[in-house]
Amino acid sequence: MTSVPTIWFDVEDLLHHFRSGMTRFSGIQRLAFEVYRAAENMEAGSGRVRFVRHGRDAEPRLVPVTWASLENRYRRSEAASVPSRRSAAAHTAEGGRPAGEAASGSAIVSEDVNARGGLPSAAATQARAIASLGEFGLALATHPAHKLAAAVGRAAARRAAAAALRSAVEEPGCSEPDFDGSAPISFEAEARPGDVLVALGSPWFMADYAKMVRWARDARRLRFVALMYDMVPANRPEWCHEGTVRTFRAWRDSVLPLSDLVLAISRNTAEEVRAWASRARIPLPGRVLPIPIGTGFSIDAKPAKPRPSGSAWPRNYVLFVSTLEARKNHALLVGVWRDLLDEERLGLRPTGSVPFLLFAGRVGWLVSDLLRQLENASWFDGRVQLIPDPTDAELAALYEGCLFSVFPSWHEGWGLPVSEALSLGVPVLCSSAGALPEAGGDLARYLDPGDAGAWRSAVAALIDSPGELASWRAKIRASFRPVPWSITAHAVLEAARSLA
Amino acid sequence: MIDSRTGSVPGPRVWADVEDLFHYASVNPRPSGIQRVAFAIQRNLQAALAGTTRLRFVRHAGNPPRLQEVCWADVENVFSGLSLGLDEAAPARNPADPPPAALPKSWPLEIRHHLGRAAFRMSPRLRDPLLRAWLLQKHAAEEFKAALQARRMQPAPAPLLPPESGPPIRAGDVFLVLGAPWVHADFGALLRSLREDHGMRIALLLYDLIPALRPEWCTRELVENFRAWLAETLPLSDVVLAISRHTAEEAEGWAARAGIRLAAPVRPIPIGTELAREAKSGSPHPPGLPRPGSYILYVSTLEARKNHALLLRVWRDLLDEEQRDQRPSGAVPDLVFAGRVGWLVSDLLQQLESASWFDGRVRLVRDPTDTELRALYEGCLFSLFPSWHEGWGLPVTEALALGIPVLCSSASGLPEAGQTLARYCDPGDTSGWHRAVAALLDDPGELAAWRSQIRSRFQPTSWSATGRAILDALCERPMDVPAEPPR
Repeated sequence: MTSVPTIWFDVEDLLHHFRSGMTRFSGIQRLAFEVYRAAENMEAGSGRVRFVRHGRDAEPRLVPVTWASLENRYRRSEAASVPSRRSAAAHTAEGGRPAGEAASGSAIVSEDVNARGGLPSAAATQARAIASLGEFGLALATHPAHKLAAAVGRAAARRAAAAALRSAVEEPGCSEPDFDGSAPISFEAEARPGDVLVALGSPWFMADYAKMVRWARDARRLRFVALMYDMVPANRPEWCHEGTVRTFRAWRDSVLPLSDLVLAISRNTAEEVRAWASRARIPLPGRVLPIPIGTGFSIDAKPAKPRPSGSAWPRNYVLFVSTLEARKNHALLVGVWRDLLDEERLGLRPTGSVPFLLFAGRVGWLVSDLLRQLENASWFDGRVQLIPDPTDAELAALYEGCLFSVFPSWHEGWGLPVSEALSLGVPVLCSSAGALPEAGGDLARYLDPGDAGAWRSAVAALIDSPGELASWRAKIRASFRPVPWSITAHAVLEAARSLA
Repeated sequence: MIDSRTGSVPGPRVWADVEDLFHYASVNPRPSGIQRVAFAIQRNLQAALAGTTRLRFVRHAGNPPRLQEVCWADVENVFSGLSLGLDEAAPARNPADPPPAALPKSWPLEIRHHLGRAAFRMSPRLRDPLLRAWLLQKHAAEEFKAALQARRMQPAPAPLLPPESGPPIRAGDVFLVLGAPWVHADFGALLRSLREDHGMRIALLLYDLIPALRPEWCTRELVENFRAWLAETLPLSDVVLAISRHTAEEAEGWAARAGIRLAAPVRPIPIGTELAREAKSGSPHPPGLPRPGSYILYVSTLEARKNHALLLRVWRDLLDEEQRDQRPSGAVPDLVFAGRVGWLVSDLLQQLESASWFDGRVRLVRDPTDTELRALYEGCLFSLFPSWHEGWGLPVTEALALGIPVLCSSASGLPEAGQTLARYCDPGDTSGWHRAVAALLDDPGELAAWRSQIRSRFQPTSWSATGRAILDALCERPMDVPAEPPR
């Protein structure tokens, strides 16, 4: 028995992501990877930090993978996620409408819907439906096979479609074998009783995860540590897909009671885990421990100019960096900007004095009606804009050029966009909900995400007093202290080792 | 003003435009709010002026446009056909509504989930045309269905009279527009011809300027039609009426910014308290509704402008308090939405679906009949109306008329409708609504006092007051009905 247990990071969820063919990583995956990297760097060569994937057979089994192969594969995905590789036509199609709203179902036909009714109109709609199907066929025929595979998602359908298309469309180098990365060691030989299995990612889509944990615990005598990001799918199911709600709840109910230690990305999340356990009368075997979180991802990126496919960014803008989804409360800002622009229109503010509002992020779920409203209002004559799928470099440039940033989310387990903005010296008007005050500390300023009037006053006050804004900026630059990911990794390793 | 002794009515002859009602009825199975109000006014004018030749009803068509007189019975028939549809027809989607993007609910959850994920991951190059094809196909199917239905329902079009046998219009007669005529192409040409060729005066009733001022809640087509219509119609109108001071101010502001000089200030008119309903007080309680006393009620079409989303956040917070034992278990009443499912709410409905309708604590009574609405009002603890924008607020006056407390949005024309008897919250202030609802739940005595205050003090407005105000305006005489509601 050695005194220091080995920490086995379960990276199966990351491998699942590779297999799905998606290029863009979620915040959870990026955070987990930063911690893996920092932990690996801290322990390089000691063999006390290792990575495992799941076996491919029915019985639970863990297979070590090498850090080098994992990192290599991750970087390749990262490089592939640069959106400028994507078709520019998809962004600027249909007369230069702001890009991104195409992802929302009803926005796609916003102009196509004919209110007049009647048979001729129905026939015209039918013809357009057929034309769109033709367009789809054309896009399909010219599409790289692995991207189609990504679209289909499920493994079986993916393999069938990829095979069918590979024969139909020759595009060398576009298909890739499943990531394996197996290390030349066996888990059975290396893992010792008292070692710790740590799940930092998002493994709750794995239906039999509890079975794996029980096997590791009971057959292999390992401890188990899970990291919780938030309890949103359970506590606020209205912001999630129905399927996510079910799988998350099942995972929480079956896996958390097996955890020797539950880590949380904030005190707020730790509190929510404890509250759930006490309400559900589930005695957690170990503590619930908040850990410090690194400052961000995009802070190292060099600012980049707008990509050629996009129109130029406006000069004078307020920035909201976030996936567009209902929980993020973009609707509040749309209302605030509408009121400010009304004041401009009514002559209560000088024309052009209201800055642009830029949403930067992926178009997510439960926002199709919001996008449609923006579309109906012609994006407030362009004063509200969407920068879809920004790269880290574009984000850095967007932060650099903004007046200030806003983050009105209804709930966050932490708030990486807030700490990232602060690290770049950018003031943040921030929601006071969830863990956001922990992420923003005393450098962000906080508002009730349910009080549109307060946001309007705060935004107006900042627009009207550039001096105040400048001094806030200076204060942030002078006093923000970034948190390196090694601090997070250190906290994870310490906590896991304390279980032995 | 009508002389009650002789029944004689001074002033010009009035030609009420009912073309839009006939047009509307040919494509819709149910009356819109505007059609209901316009009909209530027309019915009152008809009753007031019965036996005189002062009020006629006309349709119009053609190029150059011609008027065709229709009798009141025809108007009544068309409208009652619509009203019947209210209870009998399947819940109809406004053809202007976009098709819902969601997959059919009848499909198994697993399949919807996986298809949703697949679409989410798909490259936009593939996804967009596929999604568009899917939506357009659904829409085409619905259009075909609606078109065939409309064919069956449409009354046989009467042949238009040739110009020489058209109605005998005299100079100084009034063309009264009470409905929603922005659906007609060439409405401006009609008004010009009536003014210039026949010497008629044009009177127009405005409900709200939402398509012009808040385009986000309207289809682009409506926004464009309405703005063009407004810009063309306002300069041609001799009398512009509005259903509230708020709408009057918005119209004057809009005209000023558009550089349009109005012939006279926009006149607000009083609006009747209640639309005619089939339900009578004391009718037997319809089955299947939430238990009386167990819920708080929001009667409204579900659409983005109506701000149902705010109430979801309020209820989530209240239910959280219950869960954290800050309120006794079950102390939070259910939230009941009653109305048609309109548009820009597919995400809202999906949110409710994901949250299992807050474990059943939020309910939607779809397409309630008049009888059910009455029973819902009578059984509620109190009612809510958090809408972002209304020209007036008939649901508010209707609730007050039944003695029901209304926690109401402070926006737009609503405070005029609710006067001092409703209580007001900022529709953008979720926390303010939370506090107000919680306070009422925590103090049943206060709620009872509010209720009895409404019952003792509410003064209904009759539709004849509306009719009188309109006739006064047409006679260019001062109104004897105060436009200012008591403060």
